[in-house]
Amino acid sequence: MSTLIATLGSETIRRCGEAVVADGVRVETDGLHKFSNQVPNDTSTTLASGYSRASVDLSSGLAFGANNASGGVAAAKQRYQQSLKASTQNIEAYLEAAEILATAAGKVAESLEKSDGRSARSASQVQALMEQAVAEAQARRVKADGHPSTRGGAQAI
Amino acid sequence: MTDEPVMTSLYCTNWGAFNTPRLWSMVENENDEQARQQVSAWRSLAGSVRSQQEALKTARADLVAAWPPDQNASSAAFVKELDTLIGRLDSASADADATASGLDNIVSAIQTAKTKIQPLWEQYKDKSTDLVPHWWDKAEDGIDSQARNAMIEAERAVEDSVSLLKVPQPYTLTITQTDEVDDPGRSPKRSGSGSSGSTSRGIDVAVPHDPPPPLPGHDATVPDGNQGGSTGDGSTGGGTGSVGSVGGGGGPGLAGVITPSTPPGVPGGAGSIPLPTGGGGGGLPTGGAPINPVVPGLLPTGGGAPIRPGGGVRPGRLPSSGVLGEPGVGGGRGGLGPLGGAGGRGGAGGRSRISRTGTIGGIEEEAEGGRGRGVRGGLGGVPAEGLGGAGGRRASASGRSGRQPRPSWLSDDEIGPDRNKGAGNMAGMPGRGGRRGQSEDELAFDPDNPWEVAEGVEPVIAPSTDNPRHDPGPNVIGWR
Repeated sequence: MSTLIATLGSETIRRCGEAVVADGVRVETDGLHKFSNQVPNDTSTTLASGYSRASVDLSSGLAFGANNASGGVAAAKQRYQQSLKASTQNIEAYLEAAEILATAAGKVAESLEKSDGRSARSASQVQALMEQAVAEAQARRVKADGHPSTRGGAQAI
Repeated sequence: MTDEPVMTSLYCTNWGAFNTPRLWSMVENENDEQARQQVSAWRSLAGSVRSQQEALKTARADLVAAWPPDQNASSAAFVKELDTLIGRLDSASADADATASGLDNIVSAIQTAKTKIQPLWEQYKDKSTDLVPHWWDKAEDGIDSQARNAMIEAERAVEDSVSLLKVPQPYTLTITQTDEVDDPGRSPKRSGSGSSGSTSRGIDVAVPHDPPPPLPGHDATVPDGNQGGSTGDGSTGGGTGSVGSVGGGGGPGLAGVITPSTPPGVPGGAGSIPLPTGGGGGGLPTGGAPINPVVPGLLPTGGGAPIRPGGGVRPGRLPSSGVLGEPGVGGGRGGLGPLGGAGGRGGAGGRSRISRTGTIGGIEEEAEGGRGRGVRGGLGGVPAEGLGGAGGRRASASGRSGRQPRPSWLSDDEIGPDRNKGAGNMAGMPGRGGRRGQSEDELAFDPDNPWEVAEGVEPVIAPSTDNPRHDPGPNVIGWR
């Protein structure tokens, strides 16, 4: 990947994997592509696999105090249930967010390359691409496990 | 993480309402292995979150080098979301570690209680099956006190660790459009926000809550600030709380999460209604004169021995399958509990007034045959707790016995003096240990031998040792 970018008036010279927006700011689209590819891979080998393993034990049920009459134990059970649900919901949300950001980065790179740097130069355009990535992620999720409005009662994992 | 105060106890437990068998049943089934696996899973999850965070940090560094946020607002918007995610992963890792520690502490506290109570339970079984009735030596009270103290210690340790169980705030990737400052040609706009609309489900587990019922006449809870069980006296406690309030009023959000357990035998689950404590076992069709046989050592405070019309009380066969820790119910729970076959025991209605074994001082029980709604007076106003359930069998057998069914919460441990001998070579031997291996018929009351006692138990009534001489009088043919 080239790192040399020359700005000649309104004209720019760029090489493959680079984009220059109209204000002359350098963007290495290869870097965006790398992010877009690397993050899903990292996520798959770290959090996704770790969560998958942990969820086997964590979803086996509450492991203490089933027959205990203690008010403290009852509070602990209730709190643990809340903790488990909230924490794992967030883990799933983190996984989803990483996927969305990676997808969005890829879209930004593509947009820059297609438009010769004239697009994706504003925050709103990046946000639009991120929203598009969100919508695509939701569509994939719906396709995978049903419509969000109809799967509230299902148990996780 | 939520900033709400953490509720460390949903109610104040009246430990005085639970004796050793009940306390043992609370901890007996604690599965240490499963709990430790979950602790390990939380630790592992924390590590995975940390790894993910490190990976994202590395990816972020590469990203900002290629797409500098300080030179491009679009990059800044993107990196802002990325930084939010990295920050949340940092706290999520710490939360998972804290939750693992909290769960570890809780499980350890309960396991410690189990370790302490197990030998007490063994002692209790020995004490309860000796020949000295509880009302005489109060031997079980000291054991109960120690067991309660173990539970109270565990409860405090658990309460100290509840706050370690972290409940994080929900995370949603929020895409907030900001003022565009890098494009002077356009007017600033703020067009709201969007989100990933995450529908993460997470892991939702049920919260089992099935404690044993409190002792009859006691409530499972006490008003705040009164730990009724610290005295170790079975008569302490009481209070105004009730089991029925455990789930409903314990705290916000509890309803629907923890279903309050209805003590078996308590109609409607009202804690204020005492469990039936005796009687009912006999098929006394009419009231008749109170039967007051005193059989020391066998039926300390009740126990549902079958009462034969005009025949008094059969000494219960204590060693085998009596119900430890259960006051003499004798049919009271049968009609209402899980085994509650209608009319499974007792006579055909009628109200019997019987003065039971171990009722020195005149404890009287009033029972309603068959239905077993009993009200029991206590000696000197102290609700008597005893071994109970000495004789008889399950309601399904024949309805002749006064023995109450074994409560579902009670440990399956063998009880009785022969319990350590093993059941295999005892099968089929009446009066010995290993009764659990016998059929219901073998356990049935033998009308031809109503005074049968277990082996090793000295009979209270025995044949005379005098040489019998029958003298029909003079003029009897064949008499010489």
